[in-house]
Formats: sequence, C-alpha cells, structure tokens
Amino acid sequence: MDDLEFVRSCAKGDKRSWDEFVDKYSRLIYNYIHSTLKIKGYSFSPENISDIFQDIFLLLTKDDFKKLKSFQGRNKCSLASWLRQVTVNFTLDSIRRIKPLVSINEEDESGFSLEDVLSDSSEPLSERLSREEKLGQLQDCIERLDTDDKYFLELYLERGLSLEELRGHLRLSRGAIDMRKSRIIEKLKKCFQSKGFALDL
Amino acid sequence: MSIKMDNLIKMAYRKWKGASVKILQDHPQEETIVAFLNGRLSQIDAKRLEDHLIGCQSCVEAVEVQIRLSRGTDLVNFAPEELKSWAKNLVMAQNNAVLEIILKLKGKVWEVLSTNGDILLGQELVPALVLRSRKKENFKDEVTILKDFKDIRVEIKIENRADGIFDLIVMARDKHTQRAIKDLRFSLIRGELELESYFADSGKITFEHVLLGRYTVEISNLNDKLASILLDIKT
Repeated sequence: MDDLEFVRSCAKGDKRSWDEFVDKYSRLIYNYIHSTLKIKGYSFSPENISDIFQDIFLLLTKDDFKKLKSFQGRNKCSLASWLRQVTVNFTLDSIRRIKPLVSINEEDESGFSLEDVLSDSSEPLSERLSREEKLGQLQDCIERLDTDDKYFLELYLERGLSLEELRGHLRLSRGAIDMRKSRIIEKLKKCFQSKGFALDL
Repeated sequence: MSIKMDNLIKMAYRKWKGASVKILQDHPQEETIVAFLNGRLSQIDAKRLEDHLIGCQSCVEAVEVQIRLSRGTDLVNFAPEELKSWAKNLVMAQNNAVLEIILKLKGKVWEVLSTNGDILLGQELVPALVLRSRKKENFKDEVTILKDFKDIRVEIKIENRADGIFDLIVMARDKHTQRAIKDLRFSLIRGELELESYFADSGKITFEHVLLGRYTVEISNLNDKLASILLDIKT
C-alpha cells in the first residue's frame, strides 16, 4: 500500500490502518516535537511534549480527518516528510501561543538593536543623521537585490543559520557559498557607492 | 562579512523588511515546503516561495528549523505507550464510539478545553462550540457532560475535591427509555493499567480521589464494550 492509499484507509476509520499509523509515526512525531522545542531553546517538560503530541493527533483526526486527508503526496512528498513538517509547524505555533512575539526593538544576540543605532544620544546629531541616511540608502540597495539574495540574507543574518547549514540547504559547495556571500556584499557596496557612500567597515 | 558589516546590513535589512514586506495570509501547504526543502519545486515556484518566506515569520521559522534538523536529530525518544494507546482510540472517537473530554483545572474552576459530548449548562445541554461562543467554558467545582452512544446514554460528572484530586461519577442509562441498566461493568484505566473495575446494578459508579492525568473509562455489559470515555485532566 502506498502512502496515499494508507492515508485514505486511515481516514475511512479503518482501525487496523490507524493502529499501524500510530505505531509507525508516533516516534517520529514525538521526536520532532522534542527536537523543535530544543532547537528553539524552549525549556520544556515531558508533559509539554505529550500535550503537543495529543494536539497534533487531534488536529490530524478532527472534522473527519480533514488535516490527514489534505496529504496528497504531491512532488513526491512522503507521508513521513509531510508529518515532520506538520509537526514542526504545529510545535512552533504552540511555542508562539505561549511565548510573546519578539519586538523589533528587542536586542538581538549581538546586543544591537535598531533603536540603539537610531537614537544613540552620545552621537552628535550630524553623525546620527548621516548614519540614518546611510541606513536608508542601504535599505534601498537591499530592495534592489534579487529574491535569491534577499532570501540568503534572511537565512544568514535574520535566522542566524551558518554558512555550513546554508550550504546543505542551497546545495552549494563550500567555495560556491562563500562566493555567493561575497557577491551579495559586492552588489551592496556598488549600489552604496553609486549613492555617494562607502561601505567599508 | 565582518561582524560590524553583518550588523549594519542586518539593521538595514530589518528596516527594509519593516517598510516593504506586507503581512501575508496565504501560507504554503506543508507539501510545498517539503518539496522546496528537497529541491523539487520548479524555479518559478521556488522563487515565489522564497518571496513568501522573506515576508512570513512563521513559515521561514519552520524552514529554519527543518534546515537545522536536517543536520541530524537525536531520534532516541520513544513515544510513551500511554500516548500511543490514547492516539489509537481516536479512531473510535471519530466513529462516535468514544466520548472525549479535555479539561483544565484552574484553582477550583474547570475549563472545558474540548469535548465531543454535550455539556450541562443549567437545564440545557450544549455542545462545546456553543459553550465557547457564549464564553461559558468555565465551571465552578463540577462539570457534567453527556453523550449518546449506540445503545446507551452516558453522563459523566467531574467533581473537584481538593487541589489536583477529583471524583468521577459515571452513569449509564438506556438511550431510549432512560432507565438504569443492570449488570454494567465500569473500569477506570490509566495507560495500559486497569486501576479500578466494578459491576453496578444501579448503572452508576463513583471513582473517588482520582488524580489529574489521562484516563479511559470503559463501560461494558457481559458481552460487549458499550462506551469508552477518554478523559484528559490538566492543570
């Protein structure tokens, strides 16, 4: 039986198929909840994992298995991969429900915040204005980047993924990923220069 | 990038995002994200998805977690058997053979988180959804829930005794005549373990001093299982 037939059989309420589904995928779901909580640095107890585990199974089965039936196996997506994604999404949603969203003015790991830069009172007004202007121009240069480059910045700078992690995700060699990063900086530098500034830090 | 350069570009990038990116409502399906992560999306679709990811905090966070997890997860945990047997019973709940109740105890107040039975509200029986729309999910000291099974009507009352301890009063009647049914067996099960089991001629039984947790109550006659109640009481 392929994944799609198996899901259909479960969704029909076939007890044997459903028991097999639970036996086969409980460990995967349980572990992915655990790993997602761990990766997000969220402190949790076994009860937290159990609660999310139950909520995921309720999500899969409620309204006549509506969620489970949404699995179609498109683009050769396996049931296990689909369940992993469902589990990660749901676990992150659960964290968000408990933990308030991070404000844009909250400090990042490096200790910098946008507010720090824009309202540094020790900085003379003229320098602050010039810095704000530079940021504004750089912002404009970012707007001109391709989607691929913006996505790279999102993962590398915003999400804090390492070049090694990005290398795997973007299927690039070590040299190619370094090249990609340098190319983006060069584009930003050139654009910045064309506006009369230098991006040398 | 140097750290200083990283930070400057990061700030400008955040500013750009704050000014340019709109809040997105239509999120890609899980299969689309999986296909993207596996490099199976067409170039056009991949670019469209990247555009979405740049503007969508929740979707990009899910992708980020998957990228980090792809470098190896410590798959050492087994899902507890108690959870697996609970999940297996969900098919029975779908087939209407199970009454499912999830409650939260907040001090002396019960909050009904979810149930497929009807809740007694004054003299009226209301489904959980209606309860929610009336903003009456909270019950002081006790809550009573009913459900009709194939042959019997089951009424379950959960009564608060002290912190984290409650009584469970389970009653089963003939669905059509509303008369008590003799020779019914009521069993309280936790995980795979049967904690208590009694025959009751009156069709009513009280399980006393039950602790918070997940339980199954099974009601059966001499030949068949007539009803299962999945109970999850949290704090």
